[in-house]
Amino acid sequence: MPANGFEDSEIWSIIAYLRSLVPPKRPIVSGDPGKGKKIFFESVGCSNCHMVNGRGGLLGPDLSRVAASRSLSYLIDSIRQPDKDLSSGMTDPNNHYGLPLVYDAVTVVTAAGERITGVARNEDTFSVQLLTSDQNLQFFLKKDVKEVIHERKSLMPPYSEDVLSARQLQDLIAYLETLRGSEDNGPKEGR
Amino acid sequence: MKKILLLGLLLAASANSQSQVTYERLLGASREPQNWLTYSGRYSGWRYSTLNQINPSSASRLTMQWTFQVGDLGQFETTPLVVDGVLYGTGQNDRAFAIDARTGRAIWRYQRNLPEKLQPCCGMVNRGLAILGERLFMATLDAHVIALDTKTGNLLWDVTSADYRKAYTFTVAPLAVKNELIVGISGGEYGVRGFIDAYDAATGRRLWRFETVPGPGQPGHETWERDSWKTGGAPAWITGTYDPDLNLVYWPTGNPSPSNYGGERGGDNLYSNCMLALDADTGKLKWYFQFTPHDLYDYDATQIPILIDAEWEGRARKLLIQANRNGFFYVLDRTDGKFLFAKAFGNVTWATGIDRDGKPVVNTSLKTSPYGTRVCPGALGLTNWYSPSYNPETGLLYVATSTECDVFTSSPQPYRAGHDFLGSVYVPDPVERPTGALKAIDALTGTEKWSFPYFSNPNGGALSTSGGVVFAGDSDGNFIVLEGKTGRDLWHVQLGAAIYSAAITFELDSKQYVVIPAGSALFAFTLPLNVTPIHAPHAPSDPSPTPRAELIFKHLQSCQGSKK
Repeated sequence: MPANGFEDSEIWSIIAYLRSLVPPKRPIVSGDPGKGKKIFFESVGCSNCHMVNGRGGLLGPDLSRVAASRSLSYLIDSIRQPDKDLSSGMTDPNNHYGLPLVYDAVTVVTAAGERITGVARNEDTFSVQLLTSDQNLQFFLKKDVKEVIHERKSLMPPYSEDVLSARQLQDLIAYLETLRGSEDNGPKEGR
Repeated sequence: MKKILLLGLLLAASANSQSQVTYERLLGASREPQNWLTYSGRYSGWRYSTLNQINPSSASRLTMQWTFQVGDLGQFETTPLVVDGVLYGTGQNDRAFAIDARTGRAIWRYQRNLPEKLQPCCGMVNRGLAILGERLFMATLDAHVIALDTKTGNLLWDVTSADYRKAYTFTVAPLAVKNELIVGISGGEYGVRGFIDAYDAATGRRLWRFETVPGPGQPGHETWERDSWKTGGAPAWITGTYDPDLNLVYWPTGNPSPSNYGGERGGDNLYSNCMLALDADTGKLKWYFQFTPHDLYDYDATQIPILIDAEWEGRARKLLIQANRNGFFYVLDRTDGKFLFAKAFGNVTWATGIDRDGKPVVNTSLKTSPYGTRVCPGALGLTNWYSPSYNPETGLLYVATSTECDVFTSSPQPYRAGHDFLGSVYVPDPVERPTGALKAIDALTGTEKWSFPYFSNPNGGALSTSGGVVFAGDSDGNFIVLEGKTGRDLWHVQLGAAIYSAAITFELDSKQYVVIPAGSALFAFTLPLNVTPIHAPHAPSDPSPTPRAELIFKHLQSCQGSKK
């Protein structure tokens, strides 16, 4: 981010605006973080794709400090409607240095017609580098495949109440609320 | 003894004149394809070369010859010059350098001592040098124009053009015409009052200035509301072109300031977003054509004006063509600025078309507001400053394009000297991911002949040649060679960082070189001419073993053994 020449009054206005986006006090979550942890690592298996403190999958974002950076409503939306806020990655026009697309679901249709879906770790005019759903890296030259489809949706399925009840959601959120970047955080096994 | 001395002096003079780049050489640059003498390669702005060694049959064998690291960070936007085996370029933060064009080895480096607080809107960039005689000329980020010695890089003169503390800055490559250097100022995002200057190449004395925002009493002043002209912008930050027969310099201008709020600068805001035709000797305005009056979307007209002579409606005419950032391709008569034709070359929503007088039919429902309005093209334009290329053999204009549409918000902003003056924020359309393409457009009809898709919206331009190829670079670091007639990908290489300029080409030792900046380095490619095709020896009908063959075989066996 370049330095700017804002007046002090303008800087304070921007700070006030940013503060207005954050609830004055984070609501207390009524769920049980211990049960939430079991949901995360066992019954629902969020950890198949998400890592927490070095444990879990690679496909989705690392959630080790997710509570420090995301609001409760964002967490709930990410579970119930994962397509609601997709990472923009390269869509930033000021992103001049070609940083990879992050968490953009891409399906490659091979010459043989096989459909391989994954997260694009990088892509350019001629090639695409996928972390596939089975968490392997696969690289493709576009000239060798039939089609490269940008799904514009998350690889994560929406967890509706049929799959994750309101009570379970509360527990899961309560667990995620403990994740603030330190391995000491979070309920211990069996607590 | 005297004869020997005289001969020595004559030889020295001969070598000297070889490196002198006279105005006559610049006029005849098209006859020196072994060199690259001006920003666009020749005065007509074509960025085209008659070299043809690299062609659809050979392009796939391109091989890197050398790399030159500038040693700085940021966008690398230079167009190098090449003169008789020496390549001259500029880098980020006003660096300049001369290198051996055969090996990439530096001869000298120059680093401008810049003040700390500079305000270029879009990076500490410089787009290149001009050359005349034995001098190189550079326009600097602190709004000076300087002359450097071609052999040493020593500073020969240094003149102040404007006050950098008020955000006046130069990023442009100068244009050398006759005995003068022509430059245009940057700073349209900071409320400067734009100008185009000419300086005496020998002394640095300013010869003329054309102010792109007319003051009181000057024609066009009435197109500005109240005192808005004082901070009206209209910078001139891309190198113009020149018609020696008409003695006219064609120089395009940029956006009015503030760029996205027009509420306090009512009127057409001349000469923002214009093509200006200036008398090269006096800087007097011969004619102007405004592409985007009262601009609200940052549609600088700072794209290279390309000069072509062609038959138009049954008679030979001197034309000027431009693929404009506002999304329309224009054809003008360059003798008088008469509008002849325009056609959109991509998705355009800010205007529904261009009327018979060349004025846009503005889509009034899309005016910027405090709440956000989606407009195509976005602020970075359907194309931008990066050079297009015109190839007279295909009659095609090759132009890099972007699909980005932006959501513009707009509100009043007080002017403060030296601070940005935008009146807006714009963000890319959050739904459609922007991409790009290199398009081939018929230079007389605007018809798209082919389009080569880029994954990301581009920042690099194009170069075409008699070899029937187009060289292009994308924002993801690919340097690409396409077939000029079809857009077929002939060869590409990943250079590891975004390309922010267009290629040049030259010839040395009977080899065609093509050079492209990427990241913070120049990359030079040639064909491996010394590699001959490998053929199996012709087999006689009845080969027989000979004692000599046995000796050779045993020798080879012993060599093989010694390697183990």
